Amino acid sequence: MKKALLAVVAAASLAAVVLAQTTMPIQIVSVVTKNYKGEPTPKFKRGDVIIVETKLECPTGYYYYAPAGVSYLELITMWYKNTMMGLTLTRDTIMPGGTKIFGGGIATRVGDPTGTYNFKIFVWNGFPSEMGTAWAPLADPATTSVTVTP
Amino acid sequence: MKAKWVLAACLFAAALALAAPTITVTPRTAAPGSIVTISITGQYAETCGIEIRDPANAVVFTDQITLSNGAGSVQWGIPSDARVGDYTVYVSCTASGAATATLTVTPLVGGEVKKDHAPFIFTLAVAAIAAASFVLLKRELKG
Repeated sequence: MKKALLAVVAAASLAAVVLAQTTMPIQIVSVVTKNYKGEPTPKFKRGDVIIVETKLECPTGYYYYAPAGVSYLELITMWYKNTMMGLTLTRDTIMPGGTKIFGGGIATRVGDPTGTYNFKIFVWNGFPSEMGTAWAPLADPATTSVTVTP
Repeated sequence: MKAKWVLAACLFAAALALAAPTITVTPRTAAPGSIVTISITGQYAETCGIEIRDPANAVVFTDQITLSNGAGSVQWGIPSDARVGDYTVYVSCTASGAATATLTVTPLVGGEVKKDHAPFIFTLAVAAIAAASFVLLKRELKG
């Protein structure tokens, strides 16, 4: 009897962990790269500023978990191969059922390499150095890429 | 019997509380331009956030991975203009907790490269002497 009860508790705990890991409070619904004129484009030249505009949404149903909204740290990182070439960030709070748009610009330098640059967008509850064991991702990461020419 | 269950529960709780991801940085010392691998060992398919801060506490790397069977790794290409000194690697995982590690970025050792022409000149000189000897020998044989 005790073993059966233990098995049920273990299964319920596992289900709760899995559910908690798959349900994110924030969704990155769009990522668009734009030039300094605000025109969407995936092509840039060295020295240009690449603007990455992201749109976040918090599902209405999340009201039951966070009626006061969800505070987050959004990181937009620019990569050339394994090197992080730039970072822009914002901290904000999103209300359940709400939308937030953030446009962060990252400059390329004249001496930077040409080719494909990748962008990774993360939404966390803070930096690992700040949050320690309380760190958590708040959205599934999103990616996009652009081409940088001489 | 009940005491055994309580003890087992306590041990399980203690194991969970003490669990922390293991970070391995390879190599621990590297120069700008090289690639460093950060390997993480944690629990099952948990998500981990990775952050690296330079000696001036500026963020130089952030990434997020989901472990596979409790393991995963990321690579960081150290920028050519990276500050020299000790960098701190922060890793926080959703199940196993948080841990830190350090890596050292050393100055890029370099200098003026001078090409050694001596072997080429020596070979040329030997070939010239051999050719001259051959010509002289041929003349003598004719005479």
